[in-house]
Amino acid sequence: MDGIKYVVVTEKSIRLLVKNQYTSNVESGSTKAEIKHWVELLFGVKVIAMNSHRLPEKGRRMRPIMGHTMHYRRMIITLQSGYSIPPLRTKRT
Amino acid sequence: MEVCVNSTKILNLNQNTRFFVPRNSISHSLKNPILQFNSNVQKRPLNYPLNQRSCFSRQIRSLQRPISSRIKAAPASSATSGSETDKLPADIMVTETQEPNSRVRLSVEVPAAVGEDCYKRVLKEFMKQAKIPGFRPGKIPESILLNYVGEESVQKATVESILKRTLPHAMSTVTGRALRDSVRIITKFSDMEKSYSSLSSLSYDVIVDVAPEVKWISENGYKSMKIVVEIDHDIEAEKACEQEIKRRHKSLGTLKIVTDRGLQVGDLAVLDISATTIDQDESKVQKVPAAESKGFQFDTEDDDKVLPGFLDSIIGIRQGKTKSFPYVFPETWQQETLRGVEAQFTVECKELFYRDLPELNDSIADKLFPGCTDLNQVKESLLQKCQEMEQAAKDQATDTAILDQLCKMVEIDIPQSLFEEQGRQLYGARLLEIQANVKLNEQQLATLSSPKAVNEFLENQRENIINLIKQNLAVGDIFKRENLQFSTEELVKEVQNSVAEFKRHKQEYDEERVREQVQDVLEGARVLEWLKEHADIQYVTR
Repeated sequence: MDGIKYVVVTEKSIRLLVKNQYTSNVESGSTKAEIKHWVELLFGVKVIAMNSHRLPEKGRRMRPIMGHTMHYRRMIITLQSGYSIPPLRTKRT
Repeated sequence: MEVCVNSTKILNLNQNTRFFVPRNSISHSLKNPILQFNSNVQKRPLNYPLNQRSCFSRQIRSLQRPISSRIKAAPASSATSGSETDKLPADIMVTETQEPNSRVRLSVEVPAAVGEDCYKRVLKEFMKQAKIPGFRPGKIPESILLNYVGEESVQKATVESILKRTLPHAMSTVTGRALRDSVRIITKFSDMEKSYSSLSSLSYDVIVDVAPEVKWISENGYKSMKIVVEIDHDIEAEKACEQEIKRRHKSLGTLKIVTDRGLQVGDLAVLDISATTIDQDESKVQKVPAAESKGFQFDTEDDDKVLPGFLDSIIGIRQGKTKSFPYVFPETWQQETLRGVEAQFTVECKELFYRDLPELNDSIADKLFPGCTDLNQVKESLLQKCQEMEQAAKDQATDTAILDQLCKMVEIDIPQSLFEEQGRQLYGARLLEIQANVKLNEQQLATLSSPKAVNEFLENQRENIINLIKQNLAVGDIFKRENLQFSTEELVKEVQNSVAEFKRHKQEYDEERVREQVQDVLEGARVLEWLKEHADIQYVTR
């Protein structure tokens, strides 16, 4: 469970929510199978696909070596239709 | 659960300094001078420097412009910009109530539809300006934007936007009457926020000063005024001429030290004077500071300038001698506190001079008045000068008397903003005068131009300021009633003169303002001329 860092809220992630796809950043070492297992267990949903990628590094030259690899991965979890994960935050009033 | 804990980080992103939220624009627009709320009414600083002084009658005239133009001129945030032409989705309800002091209260009720429209505009503006990672500007969902910006900020901006959009519409009922800078929203901003958040509609009260109406006690009374002008006998040309010749003759003489006699009439003495009150109880004896003087140059021929009988008491005093004598201040003495006070005067004669005057004949004519060859010419030239001065003083006294009379003939409900504006201008003029005479340092200037000093001045000079306003308004009213006019040539000439004056002193000027001021002056002069023609004026010498 420690693998999931936080939910990502971007233009794309909101667009994907319509397609029942949830986006979150996960620890670098976590695998798709681990994350799928935890999500299915905790939220009681059926995951049909897992996509993951590392964000491209920013082109900033800090040291003689340019760029670095991101220390986390972004995973897009696709749920089977009919399943959903409730919002993790409550709307402020 | 870790997911939840982490997720709260996202919720608090509006506190994250990485994001640019256009808060500046909000706070800036809240400082709009038009939107001065009762709870936090800022006193305007003194208009200083006053080389751009203006007359309040001009202020009123300038207000004949639609008030919206002034509102537009105020700094407006881009989020809340609006103009009078900006159509509202629904009509606002404005109730006008007359209040004392030429004041009008406008109660404005804004329907929910207008509030909704303003809310959308504010959101759109925030959306354009907010920089949130993961979103392009203008593509941020409302809920996320609200989280980032903060609902409170949006609400404040919305209320402000509502005010900005609806105020010009509300003010349209008093267009042409409202005085510049006199619009005050008296409903507290916090109250407006509360009512907007609970009802989504808004109602607020605005107070605005309107141009006061000039009410004549007797209609057309100014057309046949009876004026008695009191003239000081000093300004009579012949007397003044004689005195002037005497003074010039004296200035040609030389002073010589008196050694063999005491003080005589015609001498000049340098005296040290001190005075104490007379009381049987010695502990109650006090000094009279007003009567004390060291190195006082006493011209015995000008004994009317000192205490009556003072000269008689010291006649015969020799140089280096001291004389002490009791003296009772006359009941008519100008200083009220000293009237009837018994005092013991001690006078020490430091130096004693007599005047060695040249003989008053044609030979000194040129020295008395350059260009003259004999005494008659001197007298004529001086008389002519004095007659001019007498005429000028007479005219001045007549003008003052007419204006005083006018002041008594009108009843005007003077609005507070007009009073303050006029008072500030007067105070500024005085400050300038003081500064021209005495070089004030920055600290003194700051003290003198502090709001406290200005308010004290306004309180002390209330009567004068009110009279001045009444006079000006009455003059303006007569100008309109009688359809008086002045020629354009006159105006152009005067404006050119004023501009030349500004240029000579290397001061900045606004030609339009100068023109307006000149127009006012010419108007005033024309009215006074007209009043003089139609009034029954009697001159009395006092």
